[in-house]
Amino acid sequence: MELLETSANPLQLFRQAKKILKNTSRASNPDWYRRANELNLQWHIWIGVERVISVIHNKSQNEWYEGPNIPQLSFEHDETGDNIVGLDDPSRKTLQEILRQILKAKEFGGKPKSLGIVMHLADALRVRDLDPDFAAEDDFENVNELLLSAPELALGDDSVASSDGVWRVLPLFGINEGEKRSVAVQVAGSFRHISDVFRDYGEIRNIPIVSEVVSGTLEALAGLPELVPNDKCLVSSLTLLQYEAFTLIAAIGTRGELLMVRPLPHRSEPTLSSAETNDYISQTAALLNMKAPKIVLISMTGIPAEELEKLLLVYKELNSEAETYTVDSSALPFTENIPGHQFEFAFSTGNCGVEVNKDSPLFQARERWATQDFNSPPKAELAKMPNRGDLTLLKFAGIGQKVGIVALLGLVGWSGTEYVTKLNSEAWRLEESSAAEMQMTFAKLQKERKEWDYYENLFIERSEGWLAMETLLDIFPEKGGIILTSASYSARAEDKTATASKHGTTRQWSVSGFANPEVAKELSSLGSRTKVAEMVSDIAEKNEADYLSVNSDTRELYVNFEQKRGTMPTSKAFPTRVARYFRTGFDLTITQSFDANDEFALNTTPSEDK
Amino acid sequence: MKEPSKHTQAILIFSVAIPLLIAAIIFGTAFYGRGKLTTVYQERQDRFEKFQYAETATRELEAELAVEGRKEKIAYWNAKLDQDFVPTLSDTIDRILRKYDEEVLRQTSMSQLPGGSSISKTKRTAYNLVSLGFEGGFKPMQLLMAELEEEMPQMLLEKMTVTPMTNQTATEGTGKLNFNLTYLSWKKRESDNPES
Repeated sequence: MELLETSANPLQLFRQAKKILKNTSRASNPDWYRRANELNLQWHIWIGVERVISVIHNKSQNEWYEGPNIPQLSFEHDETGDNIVGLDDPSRKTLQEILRQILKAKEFGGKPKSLGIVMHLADALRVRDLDPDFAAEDDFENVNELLLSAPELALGDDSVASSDGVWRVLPLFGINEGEKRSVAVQVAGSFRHISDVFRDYGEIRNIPIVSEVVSGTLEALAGLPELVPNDKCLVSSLTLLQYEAFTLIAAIGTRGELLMVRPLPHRSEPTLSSAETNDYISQTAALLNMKAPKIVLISMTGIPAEELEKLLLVYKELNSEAETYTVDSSALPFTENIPGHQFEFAFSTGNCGVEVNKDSPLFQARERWATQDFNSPPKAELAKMPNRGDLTLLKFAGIGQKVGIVALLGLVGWSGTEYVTKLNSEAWRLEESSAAEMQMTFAKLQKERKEWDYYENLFIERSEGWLAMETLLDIFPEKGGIILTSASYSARAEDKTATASKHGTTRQWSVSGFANPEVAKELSSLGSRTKVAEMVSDIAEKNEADYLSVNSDTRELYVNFEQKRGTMPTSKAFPTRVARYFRTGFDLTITQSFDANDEFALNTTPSEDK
Repeated sequence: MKEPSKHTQAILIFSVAIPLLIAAIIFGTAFYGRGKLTTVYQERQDRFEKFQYAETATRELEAELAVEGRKEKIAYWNAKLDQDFVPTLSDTIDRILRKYDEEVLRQTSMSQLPGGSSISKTKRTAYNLVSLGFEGGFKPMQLLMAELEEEMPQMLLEKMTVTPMTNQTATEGTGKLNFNLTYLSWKKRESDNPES
């Protein structure tokens, strides 16, 4: 997959991350970001010059299986024919088919979700001193990056070509000061192309295939505490790791520090001869000024210890006091169950099962430098791929966005429904002018209602002149026998029961006159309140004047009637011949009233809203 | 603190910050709009409730005022109270008296009275007091009063005295009388105006 530079604009980087998230399982499968030996299913390939050992390891079940055979592979070269550019097509397809078979196989403990591939290179190891400018550098990461990107600079040798192999830094573990803190080590570059085929296949199939190229020699160096029976053997020692085509000699100081490493190529035999061994040991001891170093000879190719002893014969003859140890790594107990019995497999998978001093510099070496991937790209290249945290963030941000969109749609739906509901409600459709018009109508009617209450109370008949006169006529009908000399009528407020808001009305008729003897006898009945009340009520009923009747608790009627003897005085209107017949004088006062509780009571607070 | 990688920055910008900003804008706008809508709706709802109350009350009032022609009566009473009292009274009496010969009934006096009414004890209700004098027969006088009170319903009779005529050369049986009347007539006063 072609990845953008990290200097690309953020939008492009974001789109790339989305594409990776969408098209790969990198966010969901953490194996993409693990080391090969951390995955459950691992394919380990030990590569020597004579043999290739292939094993499959199921980490969770701690099972080992024979791995597929690696066929002869051929490479494509560039136009010059000097530089390898990759595997040729048939080889690539062969490797892809092998991977396909492994990934579909269930006999390795179930169908795998990922595959870690570790190529342990044991064919060769080249060691060179770094340019003095960098040899004393204690920032090994920086030196390593320089070796990756510009080995000629790091080595101070313009003749070094990247096609020669892959360079990495190897710190001299335990050396904390001095002019030489690290050296450069190189493995063959051709294995990177094989590793690339594995990785590319994983990318295509979207299955994490983590392929690493490690130096089996450096693994063995870091694994010395497990390889030798006692780590005291290693102190002030010269340790020889014997491979098919070379032997690595490592000088270890009094504190267990790594003083020097140097590959010793085998010239014609599969091992160094006893004399060669003696020469190299003696020269190295002299070079490092080591007196009577312990000698540890370890075969990484399965040569029995007895054979190894023979290789030390010359040295032992010359140094009879020398303390020597020989180890056949394939005979170690923890390699017994591993096909091929390779120590590197046990070491890489953490299956050595030996208690070792964790403070020793060699033990600490395994954390980083002794197990480094020689095919790891520079940091700048690695930075092009979003890490798992980025993709997880992107994934959850995507979920968050979807939730947000759903919430937004919900909000829009809810608001829309509410909006439509409100818009269609009667309240919303009511025009302001209609409401105002209704309020005006209401106010007008309220005013009219108030006017009605006011005027109805005000205009109600309480005292009518014509009826006052009619009352007199009804009490004193025109049948003769009575002459009225004066009559008066008055209406006034009734005070006794008046309240702050109402008062009643009292009407009073006062009549004086004379009656002839016949009528005078009947006239005395006017002194009866009952009689007069009956008369007044009849008048009220006859004339539809309710205010005049005396028919409830709110109504009162008083009568005062006096008769006296005495002839009516004569006048031009009533001469003596007429006046002498009217010999009985009388005075009648009728007082009729309704009180403040009566329906006819006058409301004195007309402006009050009822 | 380690600076986030370019990928992390890009993802934070485009996958977190910008969507959050957009969401904040949309949600903010939606909530603002909804709040605005709710406010407007509440106003309209209040207006609608007032409208409904007014509509119901108006129907009731209309029904109430339709009973017995109350509206017409109010208009009639208003019209009466809007008239100038004294000229109207004079005109009305003159018009009624034209029906009678002066020998039968004639007006002898008319004057406005100062002072308080005996019927209306409240100072809040406005009125005029007027004194009228007539001479003539009982029945014509009664008819005049009936007609006058019909024409001017705002008038109440406060006081009436009826006495035989003494200063004329009356012959037996003519029965002419003096009538002294005091009428109260309601009038509009600002403080009693129902609109106030």
